[in-house]
Amino acid sequence: MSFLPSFILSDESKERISKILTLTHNVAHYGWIPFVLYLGWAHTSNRPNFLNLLSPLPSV
Amino acid sequence: MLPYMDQVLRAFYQSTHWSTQNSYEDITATSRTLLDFRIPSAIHLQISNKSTPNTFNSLDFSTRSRINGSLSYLYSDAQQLENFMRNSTDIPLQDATETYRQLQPNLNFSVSSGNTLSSDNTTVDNDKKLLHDSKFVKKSLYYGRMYYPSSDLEAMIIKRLNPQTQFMLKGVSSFKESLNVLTCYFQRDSHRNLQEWIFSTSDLLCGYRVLHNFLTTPSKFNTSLYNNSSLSLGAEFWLGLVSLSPGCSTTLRYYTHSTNTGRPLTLTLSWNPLFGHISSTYSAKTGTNSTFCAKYDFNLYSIESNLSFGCEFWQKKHHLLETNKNNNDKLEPISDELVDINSNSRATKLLHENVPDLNLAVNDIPSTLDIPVHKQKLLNDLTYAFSSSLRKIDEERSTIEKFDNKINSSIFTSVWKLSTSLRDKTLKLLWEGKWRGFLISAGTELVFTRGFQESLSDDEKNDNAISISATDTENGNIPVFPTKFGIQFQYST
Repeated sequence: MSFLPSFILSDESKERISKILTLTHNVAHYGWIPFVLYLGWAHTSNRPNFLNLLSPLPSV
Repeated sequence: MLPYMDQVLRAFYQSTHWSTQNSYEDITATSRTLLDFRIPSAIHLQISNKSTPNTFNSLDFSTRSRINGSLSYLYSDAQQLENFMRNSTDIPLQDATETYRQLQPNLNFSVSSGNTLSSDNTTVDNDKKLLHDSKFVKKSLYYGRMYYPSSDLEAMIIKRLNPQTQFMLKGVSSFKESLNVLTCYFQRDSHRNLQEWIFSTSDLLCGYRVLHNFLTTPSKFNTSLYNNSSLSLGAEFWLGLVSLSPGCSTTLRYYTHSTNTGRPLTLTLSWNPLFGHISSTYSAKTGTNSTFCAKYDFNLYSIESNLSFGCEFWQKKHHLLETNKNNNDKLEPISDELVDINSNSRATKLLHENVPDLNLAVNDIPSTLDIPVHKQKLLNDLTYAFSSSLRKIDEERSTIEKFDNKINSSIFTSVWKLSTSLRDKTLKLLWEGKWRGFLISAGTELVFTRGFQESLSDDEKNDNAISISATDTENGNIPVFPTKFGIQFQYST
């Protein structure tokens, strides 16, 4: 948040915003693949086993 | 070899009728694939699986200094995606690898002929397409790839908003290098031209790319009634809003077929006015099993130039037997070219047959219209001239289609790719093939050092002369050493 002049935001709010941004980034980073997997699971009619979706190895 | 997820992406484009040949990004794709093909730099293994008809996942594993790799997952709600996907055992080699890109001339030829032929199959096809367009359902694709051990993330969303437009969002996130980039693309394809607006959070980069197709309708000149060529002009403009650094380039592409042999050839000319870089390429498919490409680069400011050559040699198993051709019907949606060829061939048969036979018609008409004899003769001559030129088109067309079909129906077992650049003094060598359900690509990149001139002829004779240590090279004893060597295995179900 260093690009904003100091009179717009106080140090606390800047810190809070950067914390929120970091948290969002973390959630998006680690939540993206589970989200893709969930979409695949939810849109398949027979609701396959989650492990089957997760495993890249060919299922027997 | 094309990575598995790229194959899925290609299938997504095919199932949603999105053509990539109009993209400015791919305007020089043919020469790029023939000259700058990727050489694997380590032992690489990719196992991929289609877990449900709409979800695909892939595991990459490579040993480069230490074990690393990636896990990718993809979900798409496109219908019949599985019809366009094949596992590594069944996929034809020409679909699994990047090769000469055959373009479908962007002419409304079949459309215009379809309109005139009321009982023609093409009309039905066009109607179907129109119906499809009017009932277009938004389709999307979600993709994520996590690298390990670095846990970097690659993400992509593609949304097909309507038949002409597409929205794409790509992102890279890395905690280690504190790199977070999001790039949005908005693409609009109006058949005649494709426009693309791009925005990236890196340097607040804004971009605009456009590609315009000329020659979308058949020429009216007798000599070129059948328009088998396409001429495209594209340009791109970039501006980084933070650093205010601009960028631009323009490219002209001409694609045509030899009328006698039906073999395609591509010419491109690119110019970057800011760097003064001019690059021209010539690529030709010289036969069903060979392709050649030459590229000449020249810089106006530094007067440096470079000449590159590339070639491909395909090894064929055998042609499909007549009896096997029935099996091809269900595989039709796999390749766009095949479908288009089939629809074209339907139009081909009807092109000259569509000409009304005035000899017959005139016999009926005189009672009502009473045409004078000299006019009737003129009419007959006109019809004859018209039908004979249409026949000429048909012949030309069938030669081209015959050649295309020959490639598509061949079963290739392996391909050798070679590329060399005179200024960089490198030789790239890549072998790609299929072995027991595995797609394998193995290659090396050789760099010629001091003794280049003397030993060139020897090395040309023996392309496989590899593996000499760099220390020997410094002594000037041995003029060539490999900078890259690797092998890649792909298996998918």
